[in-house]
Amino acid sequence: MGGHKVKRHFVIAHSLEAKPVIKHYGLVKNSSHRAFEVFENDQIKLIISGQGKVNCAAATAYCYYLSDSLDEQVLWVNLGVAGHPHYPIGSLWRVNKTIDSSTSKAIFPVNVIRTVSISAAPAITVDKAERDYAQDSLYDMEVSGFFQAASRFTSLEYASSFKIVSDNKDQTVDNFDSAAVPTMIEAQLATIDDYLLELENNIINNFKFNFQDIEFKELILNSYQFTQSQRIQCETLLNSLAVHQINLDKTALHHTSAKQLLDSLSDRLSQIKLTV
Amino acid sequence: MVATIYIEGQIADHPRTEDIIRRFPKAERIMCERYSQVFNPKAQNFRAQKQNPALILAKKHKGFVLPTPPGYGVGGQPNYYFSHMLNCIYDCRYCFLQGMYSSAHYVVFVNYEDFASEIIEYAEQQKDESPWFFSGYDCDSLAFEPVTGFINHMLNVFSEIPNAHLEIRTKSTQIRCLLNSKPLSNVVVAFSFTPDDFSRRLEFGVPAVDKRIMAMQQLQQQGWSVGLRFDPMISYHNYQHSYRALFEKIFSRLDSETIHSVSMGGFRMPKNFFKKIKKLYPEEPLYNLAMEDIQGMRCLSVSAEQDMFEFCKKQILSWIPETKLYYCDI
Repeated sequence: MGGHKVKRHFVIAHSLEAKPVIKHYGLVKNSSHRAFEVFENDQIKLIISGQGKVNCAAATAYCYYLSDSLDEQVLWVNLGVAGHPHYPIGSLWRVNKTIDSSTSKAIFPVNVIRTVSISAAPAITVDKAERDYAQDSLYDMEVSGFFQAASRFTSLEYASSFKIVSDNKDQTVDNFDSAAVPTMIEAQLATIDDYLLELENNIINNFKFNFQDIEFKELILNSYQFTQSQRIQCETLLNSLAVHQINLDKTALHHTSAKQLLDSLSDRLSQIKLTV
Repeated sequence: MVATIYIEGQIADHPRTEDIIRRFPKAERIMCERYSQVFNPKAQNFRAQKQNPALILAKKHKGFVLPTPPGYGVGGQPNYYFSHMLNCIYDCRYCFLQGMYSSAHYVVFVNYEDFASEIIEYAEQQKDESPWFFSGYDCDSLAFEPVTGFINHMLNVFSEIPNAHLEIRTKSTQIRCLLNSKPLSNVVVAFSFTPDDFSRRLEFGVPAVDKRIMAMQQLQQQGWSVGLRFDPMISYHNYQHSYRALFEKIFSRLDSETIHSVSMGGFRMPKNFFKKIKKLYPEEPLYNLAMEDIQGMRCLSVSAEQDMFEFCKKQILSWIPETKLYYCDI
């Protein structure tokens, strides 16, 4: 796990919302994808989902399968505009609860970041643009689909949704000037980026373990004929010995069978006592 | 300390909810229908949450009092436990809660009266017996007491049911509610200990051993009965020196006469909890020691532990009579 750079996957509904993000990170379109538009660099993938929670969930799943390795550590980010009864136009909000208006299912993203403060609000995902703003909540059309899908691929600490208010009771969605969207989003990107950097550090701190000598581990694993369960057992033993900083020498390569190797590794581990 | 509070709609107006919320005026408040919506989803990382846990205020609906697992007790029968709180403000690396729950958030059930009713009912049903009720199984009994006031509430309850016993198990020094109350003969305040060096390495946020001993001394001086819980005992390099020093420190400062009981227990963890915790903390040496599976539990190798157990037992028995020593096993 360790040693991987944390990746970011942005799932964004509309190209106007994506435009400032693409520019900010210098993302380049990968034209090999037909289902969705995908922009990327070494660390970031950005997928344009289209409007609605189903499209958003589909794009999130699609993006997951674009990962170089399914084990890599990824921050999932949904970013876009939303309505609210009275929040100021252009204000930035982190979603702390999402409710799918058609099913009433609620999901609670988890905030683990203390240092970067972004005000939080619940969001209701609706199927049609909201004009009544009946509840004191953000209204959008994607975020419930995003969290439903993303929570299959990551834990809720590492999926975030940021909404920038585009319309409210004073300036309704019918008077909304979509040309203003890129500027609104661009104005908040630095704050969002700070938040995501903190989250990346959190991931790095929580997944820092690495086998010290991966090449030697591979050499051992390739030197014997293991059954499937023996292979898993061998990997577990090698990892445990590595945690205790036990360096194996080349004798580990010269056992007569996989079973003898496993017995030897188990014996070695059983002699270890905890050090505090 | 608490940056986010989730509140179940049905207890939003409960006076205890309002009181607790007032203590965290800057906390982000999020309404939920049931605490399980927040606490139970599998897609959560306990380790990540532990760095900034939220508080969930909820109502418990059933199962206020449950039988303890076999082997859990200090001589009495029958034994029950209850948990007004799920999860602990401390972060002990060996703790089974890390494997039991998906979330590290603290759940506090605010309907204390329902816990009390069931305890009173059990005590009355067993008038001819001396049932024991253990607090501090799914949380630390006292660590969050300044916020919850739960133990303070329970002291009044147990003062009315003298045939029932309460064990308040803790690593905390938050003993003000006890010092402000008249000692009850049916209540034991039981402190858990591991040696200093072990505690510093594996019990994050837990008060220092000396401070806990001082708290015990204060309680004894006021007339409270205290207990000692050496659980889990985990064998490690030079444990002899560290445990000998720990026992010396504790027993030389406490009045052995009013120590109610001492218990010892080895490291044991349900296999599925162990697997989950090892995945959360792959670099933790404790979870990378040789283990044995005994009755669905992962335990440290019996031979290694046996020597330590015998050593510690001998040490403890040089301070207290054998009748006060209990063993918590599988």
